[in-house]
Formats: sequence, structure tokens, C-alpha cells
Amino acid sequence: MIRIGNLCFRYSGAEKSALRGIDLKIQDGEFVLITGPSGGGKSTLCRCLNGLVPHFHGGKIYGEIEVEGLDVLGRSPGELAARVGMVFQDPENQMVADEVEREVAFGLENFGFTRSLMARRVEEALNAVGVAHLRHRSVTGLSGGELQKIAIASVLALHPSVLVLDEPSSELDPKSTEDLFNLVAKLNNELGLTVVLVEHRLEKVVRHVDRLILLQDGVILADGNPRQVLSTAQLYQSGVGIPAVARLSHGLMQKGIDYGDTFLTVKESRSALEKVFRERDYRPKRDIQDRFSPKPKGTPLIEARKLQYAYLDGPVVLKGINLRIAKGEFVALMGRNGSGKSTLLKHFMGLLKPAKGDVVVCGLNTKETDTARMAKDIGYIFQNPNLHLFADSVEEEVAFKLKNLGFDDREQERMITEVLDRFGLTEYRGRYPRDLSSGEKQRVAIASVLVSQPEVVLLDEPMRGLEHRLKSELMESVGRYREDGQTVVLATQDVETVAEYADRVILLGEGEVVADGDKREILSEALLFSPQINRVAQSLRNHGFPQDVLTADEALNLI
Amino acid sequence: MTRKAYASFALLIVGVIALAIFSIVYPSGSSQLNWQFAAAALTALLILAFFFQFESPSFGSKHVAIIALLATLSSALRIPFAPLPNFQPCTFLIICSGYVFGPVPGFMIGAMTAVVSNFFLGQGPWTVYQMLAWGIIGCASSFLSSLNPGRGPLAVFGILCGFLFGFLMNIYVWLYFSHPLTLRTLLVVETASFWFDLSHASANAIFLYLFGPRLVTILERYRKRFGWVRSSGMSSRPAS
Amino acid sequence: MLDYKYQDRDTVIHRLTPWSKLGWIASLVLLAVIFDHPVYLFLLFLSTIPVIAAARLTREWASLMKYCLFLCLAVVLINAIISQNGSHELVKAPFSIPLMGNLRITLEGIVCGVGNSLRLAAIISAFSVLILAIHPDDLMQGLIKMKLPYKSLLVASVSARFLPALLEDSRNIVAVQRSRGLEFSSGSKVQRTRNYMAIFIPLLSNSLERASQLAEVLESRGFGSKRRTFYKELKLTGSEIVVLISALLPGIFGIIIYSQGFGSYDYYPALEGIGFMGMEAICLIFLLFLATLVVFTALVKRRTEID
Repeated sequence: MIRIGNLCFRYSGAEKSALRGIDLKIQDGEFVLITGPSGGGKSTLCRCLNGLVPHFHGGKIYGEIEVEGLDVLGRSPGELAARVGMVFQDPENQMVADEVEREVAFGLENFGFTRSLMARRVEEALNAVGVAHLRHRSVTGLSGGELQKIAIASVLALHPSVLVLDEPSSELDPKSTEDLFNLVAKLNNELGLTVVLVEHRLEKVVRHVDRLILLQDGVILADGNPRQVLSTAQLYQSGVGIPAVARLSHGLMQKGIDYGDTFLTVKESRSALEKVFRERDYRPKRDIQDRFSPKPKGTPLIEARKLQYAYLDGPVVLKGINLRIAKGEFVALMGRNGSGKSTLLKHFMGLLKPAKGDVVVCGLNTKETDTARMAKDIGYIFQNPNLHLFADSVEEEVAFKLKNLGFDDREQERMITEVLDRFGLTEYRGRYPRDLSSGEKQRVAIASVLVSQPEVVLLDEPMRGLEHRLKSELMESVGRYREDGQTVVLATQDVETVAEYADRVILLGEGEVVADGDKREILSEALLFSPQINRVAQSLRNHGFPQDVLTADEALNLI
Repeated sequence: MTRKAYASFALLIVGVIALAIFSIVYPSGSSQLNWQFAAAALTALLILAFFFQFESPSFGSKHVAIIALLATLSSALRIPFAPLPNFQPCTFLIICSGYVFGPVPGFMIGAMTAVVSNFFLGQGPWTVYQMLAWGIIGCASSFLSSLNPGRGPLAVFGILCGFLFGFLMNIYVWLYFSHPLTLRTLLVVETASFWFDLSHASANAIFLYLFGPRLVTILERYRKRFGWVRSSGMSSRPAS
Repeated sequence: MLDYKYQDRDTVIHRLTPWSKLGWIASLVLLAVIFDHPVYLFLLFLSTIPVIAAARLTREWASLMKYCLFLCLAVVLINAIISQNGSHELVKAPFSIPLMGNLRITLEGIVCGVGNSLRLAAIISAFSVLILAIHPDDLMQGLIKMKLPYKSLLVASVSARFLPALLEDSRNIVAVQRSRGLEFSSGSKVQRTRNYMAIFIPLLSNSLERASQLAEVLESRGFGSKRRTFYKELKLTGSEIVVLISALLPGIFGIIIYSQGFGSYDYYPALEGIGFMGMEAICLIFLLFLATLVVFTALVKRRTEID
């Protein structure tokens, strides 16, 4: 059992307390999901469970923490490691050894286990998470999903009774995320492990959990059964990623339609809605639409002709891509990991040059043009804002591109003021960029690229690991920028975001264009890349429900 | 700085001076004592002295992690890859790391830079000399923290380090690739590499002058964030 | 960039304990250092090839040797310029340089450079077995057993493991900054240094972030809390001891014949003849045999294990 009593913590040097009076009891075998906005104290709270706070991260602490009858404040993280297993965000940074089985044995070695016992524990742990086939592989070649499972095996080998996971999916693609959560649920169900999971995207995991806790500003705002908590107003205001089906049921509740419990899965919402429709004799507000608006015509701004590309000594990544993107379009490039989306996007920026074929962007053939020259017309935004930021102040950071492009001082001043204003950064002008919050950092990174007012904006998986609020903030700033008719190309695997913001979807598979068309056409016929709400809509066909509905808001408007 | 660290630094200096003196005094010719071998052994012993100091339990997870990653970074900077121009800021990084994190971590970062980058660039007898040379630079830089120098003195220090590195590596070149081993050939090797060493030294000076204080601030900020007091173990205590 | 890291193959060489391989490398490097005679050095270099071939690493080795060839040319060139003691003068510069006097290029200088190149080639070739055929974890385990400090070895292995990730980070940062209009090749040295910071600072901050996460991981897996044990034990079986001895034999034999005055060579003031007396020729052939003996014992060991 975990018992936390009136816990307060402030990091040394911080002005605000990270935790302010937490009272929490977690029973053995519970699966608890802690959610909340970033900076709300989630990570701090889970670090309290294995003593990293306060023994590793110094600070002032009050209150009590007790895990399995042990007083955490009096023990080091090392002593607690055999009771509380901790899995962190970034899979790459959690690997200590080179070979998988030695990685799993690392903790056991630290505790001085005998060799025969280690052999047994390693074998068990590898099998429990289903990575026994990887045991002799080097961790360097493995995917993020595999590494995260190995990280779980490494802590399981120590036989902890509590497993704590701090945003373990933020670096993973949707498929691996799902696998990971299924695994965690299995460990909870079959081994009886107590699981404390911190996560801000709920859609893939909330159906597995027993209890949902909302933590914001260091205080527990809601705590209880996930269905209850999902219907509280605080959760909606906190900006976490609520599953589309739950939003649907929340919307229905506001419309006064009785549907039973909050939906957690597509299956639940299907049967509940069918029941509602049957009882109320539903008439759709709109006919089923089978025809989609034709592709916008116009002069192509981006054009790829028979584009082929292979990395040095690697496989062929792009196998003859032909596509045209017109001015003003918002295109989403989708596809699995390794489908070539990012490679294609880098071609649009001229960062990679075609092995065969041509890429023409804004009238410039990338083969003949230097990237620095293209930077004037094209902006490229990478997923991690930390890769952008290096300057001493926000102003300098933003001015960097203009200086490189050789704008004169007066023009620079005007453009900087404008972009800071547009992205709500004026008050941070003199601040050190790396001290800002993650949302602000992201806006600085975007501003530093869009300051030259490029015609085309390329976004390379910008939403990976971002919490919902920042995601929508990001898409809204891109949307605002687009008002003057700029073109946006977004490479992503995030179906829900594409459903909400993009116009056109290009689906890549194995380096080829598999599908290309209006998002309603592509996403509503997909198996892998279809949003939750569309899957619900598919099943309501008999009731005359439109088949091209993609988001909860759209669906609610029709009901 | 702990007394032990002072002791090994003194040992290091004595060792280097001994190496230098014997190299110069040693008369021409072959056999008797094999100098290539003796010098490598002496260098290896000096390095091991530091490694065993790092074994002390006062160096924990935080030290292992930061030393490993800073060594990785400075190794990455040594490995040429297409888009980067041919700067070699790794000495600059080692100086600033030693400045902020103290003598033993400074030495470790310097020495590990040589080991790790040579996994990619090629290992050989030169690795030991590079380990020693960068290690000494990292260790010596820790003295800067008590002096708190401005840009100018930092740049001068960078020049000294550049030539110190060059001097040690030239001893290696001289021992292995020139014949016979006399003071004259040593001087010839040292002079022949003067321009090369000067370019290394001036790169250090430019980096330290322009960005030294900034890098030190970034590293200091990191050190403080973990409540890590220089050269000792964990310091944070819960105030329950 | 050189792809110069451990290559996982199933060969008799890969199956040896790291100590046998380290012993063989140490023997060869030691001999390469003590001998001056170009023929000895050449034969040492040649004797590394059967071991490389037995480990099926010829492709990687060949690409490494190409790179080594450039180094060798540089050594010959430097030596030719620096060594002024030879008596057979080939070219003489008409001007005088302080300390060096009038530059002369002599036959002895060039031959001495060739000798040194052969030494370099033998050392690089022997070391390539260390990198290409010993698993990094095994190497670490082997060195720990030899009482080398664990923490330093851990730092080295963790650091090497993170290197590819950091290179990937730096490629991404370069892409980001280039698309912000950054050019590296233009401007003064100071300007280029400034531009370089646009890559360096994000890379540094990223590394620090990785370091703090790694520290948390080490801490929460109980690192440094107790006396460690090791998951894998490297054991010296009877047959493995035989291999180890066979790997050390060339070193021992080499020292013996060196102390008898074999293998030394004076390049200056004039090249010695390279005729061998009967006894020396026999020793040399025997040395070559011993240096490659490890391949045979490794094969025999494998045989006995299969039976």
C-alpha cells in the first residue's frame, strides 16, 4: 500500500511549490492513472514514490510518504528500487548496457545478487514483457517501443511491488503506445502489480485503469473512477487529452441526452448511441455524403516528380513519389514509422537532395538551390523545440533567421515586433529562451522560423509527446499564420489532430504514395488511420448517420 | 578540491615533467631501455591513478551520467561529419567542464573523450597520450573556478592548453616516428607542428573568449540544479 | 565516417574470451614497439591478416587499412623531412630553416619512414581486432576481471553507447539551423565560430538533459548502493587457457630473441643490409608461426567443444 499524507515539496531554487498538500492512498493491485497539465506536479509526485524526490532532486519537503510500510523520506532511491520500479519518458536514455539481457541484469548486479538467481530473474522478466527473443540483441538497433518494454523488464527483474511509469509513451508512435499500455494492463491483471502511470494523453489507456487522478498546480483536483472523473468540468479545463469518445459523451450530457455511463471505448459508444438513436428515432441533420469536394486546383507550389531517395548504404526510402501541393492547402503527410514522411519533408526544404527525379518548391528546384537560400520562402519546424533554441534572448533567437537572410535593421525590427506580437511573445522579448515553459519554448521555436514570413510551412512531427493543450495551441498558431494563404505540410501520425485541422491527407507506405485526397475521404475509409469518432459513425450507418464525420464536435452538431 | 585530487594532480605534473626531462636527456640510439614502451607505461599509470580516484563512493550516479554525456558530446564534436565545418571545440568543452565540475570529473571527461572518439576514429597507442593530454587539461581547468577569470585570461588559458596538448602529442610522435631519439629531433618535431598547435590554441582562445563565460554559465546552472557541490558527493538533504 | 565498431559474427575468434584476444593484441603491439627492423615489422603486419580472416572481418579491415594508408604516407613524408642524419642524399633544399638547417631528403629518412609506417600498420591492424571482434560488454567484463576500475569502464561504455544518438541529434540540429538560413562556409573565422554555436548550444543542452535522465535511471536501479556482482562470468576453461598461452607466446618469444640482439636495425647514418644469418631467419619464421598460432588453437578449441 502507498500512503501519502499532506505532502508538500519545493525544489531548491524554485519560487513555487511543486506539490501542495497531497493526500493519497493507493491500495495493492490498483492501476492508477495520474494526469494533468505539464508543470502540475505529476512527475514530481511519482518521483516521490521511489525517493528520487527529495534524495536526488534536492528541495524542501514536508509530510509523509510510506510505501509498503517503508518511510520513503528515510531511504535512498537505491534501497527503494526493490520495492518501486520506475520507468521514465525517453526510452533511449534509460539504457545502460549494450546487450539486452545485461541491461535487464544491471539492477540485479547493483544489488549483489548471485549469478544463478540473476539468471532466473532475467529469464522471467524478459518473458513477462515478451521480449525474450531480443535478449542477445544490442539496444542500439531497437525501436522505442521495444526499448520501453526492456526498461520495464529491467525494473521487473528486481521484483518490485509497485511499478511507476512517468509518461512512458511520449516518444512512441501510436501502435507502440497501444502495445505498451496493453502490456502494463496485463502486468497489473496477471501479476497483481500496483501500477501508477503518469500520462497526459488518455485515449489509449483510460479503459485499462481503475482510478483516475487529476493533478494540477500541485493539488489533487479530482480522484476516482475514470468514468466519473472524465465527466468533471475540471478535467476539461485542465487541457489534457481527453479521448474523443469521452468528449462525445460529455457533449451529449450537455445536450441533455441520457446515454448511461461515460464512454471509454468505441465499442461502448457504439452500443450506447445505437440505443439512443433507436429510442429517439434519430433523423440526421445532413444526408450521407459520398462525394467529396474535388482537390483544389491552382498553381502547384510544391511539386515532386518521380522522386527517389536512399540513405547512404541504406534501403531505398522513397520509391518514385509524384505529388503536387497547391498554394493555400493544409496537407497532412501520414504513414507508419519508416514510411518516408520525414524524408519527403526534408526534400521539400532541400535538406536532402533527390537521388532521382526533381523537387520544385516555390519555383526553385531543390537540386540547384542551397537550403539557406530556400529558407526565405520555406519554414521548417522540427518536433523538438530544444533543437532550435540557442540564443541568449527570445529577440535574438527570432532575429537569427533574418540576420542570416540579410534583412536590414529596420525591416528586422518591424518583422520581429510583428512575429512576437502574433505569437504572444512580446512580454518575453528579453528572456532567456530555455527558461521558458515548454509551451512558450515551442512558440519561440515557431516564431523563429516563421519570422521571415515564408510561403510554405513544413512541420515534422511537431506534436509528438505534446500535451493536448499545447497541441491545439500549436495548431491554432499555425492556423492563424495561414490566414494570408500560406501553405502548410504536416508530417504526423496523430489522426485526431489531422481530423481536426488538415484539409488533405497524403498517406505514405513503404516510400510510395498509397492514398491521396480529401481528409474525409482518406480517414473515413481507413483501418489504422481513422479517428475514434469515425469508427463510431461507421457503425451508425443504418441510422443514416453521415460516414465522413471525423471529430466529436462534428458529430455533436449532427445530433 | 579534495586533498587526494591535489595529490594526483601533483603526481601528474611530476610524471609529465619526468617524461619531458627523460625524453630530453635520454641519449640517442636503440635498445637498453625502450623509451616508447616506458613512456606508454608511465602514461598509463598516471591515467589509472585518476581512474582509481574516481572509484571513490563520493562519485555517484550524477557524476557517472554527466561525465559520460559530456565525454560523448566532446567525442561527437571530434568526429567529422559532412555538414559541420572543421572546428574542434572539444578542448574548449573539456576546459569549461573541468572549470565547473572539478578536477576528477574534468580529468575523466578529457580522458574519456579520447577513448570514445577513437572507437570511431581508430584506437592505437596514441589513445593513451590523448587521454593524458586532455585529462590534464580538464584537471588543470578546475583551478580556474577559484580564480574566476574574465574572457581575456580564459583565452590565454586556452592558448596554453592548446600548446600543452600539442607538446604531449609531439612527444608521442617523436617517440614512435622519429629516429634517432635526440633532443634535436624532439625540437624538430615540436617546431614542425608549431602551426598546427597554434591553430588548435587559437581556436581554443576564440571559443573561450567569445563563448567561455556563456558555456560556464550553462554548466553551472546544471550543476546547481542537482544541488551538486563541487568534488563531493550528493549534498541535498531532505528537510523533513 | 568510418563505421568502426563491433561486428557480430559467429567465428572461432569471436568465441574466444576477451583475454585471449587482448593477450594476442598486447603481444603484437609490444613486438611492434620493440622491433625496429622493417622486415620484422612487415611480418608482424602480415601475421595479423590470418586472424582478421578467421574472424571474417576482411571487408571492415580493408576499409580501415585504406585510411591507415594515408597515415602511413604522412609518416613517411614527415620522417623524410625531419630526419637529417642519412648519408645518401636525394634532394637538398637551397634555403636554410632555423633549427633544421638546410633541408635534405635522404634515402635513409624515407626508408625509416617506411619502417615506421609498417609499425603503425601492424599496430592499427592488431587493434582492429580489439574493436571489431570483441563485444563491448565482454571487453568491459574482461577488464573488470583484470581489476580495472569499474566506474571508469562504465563511463566509457555508456559514453560510447550514446555517441550514435548524439550524432543523430546533431544531424537534426544542423537541419533545423540550415533551414533557418544558417551557412557554415561563409564569413570570417569569428563569424563562423558564432554560427557554430547555433549547433553547439542546442546539442549541449540536449546532452545535459540526457545526462540528468540517465542519472535518475542509475539512481533508481540502485547503482552504487552495494557491492556489485556480475551477471555474466567469463571463465577460463582448460582449452581457453591453452589459447591464451598460444596468444602470449609470440610476445614472450619476441622478447627473448630481442634480448639476443635480433630485430634491431640502424637506419642511420647509412642503411644496414638486410641479409639474415641462418639462426635469425629460423627465429623469424618461428615468430611468424607463433603470431598466427592463435588461429589454430582457436580452431582446435572449437573442435573439442563440438565433440
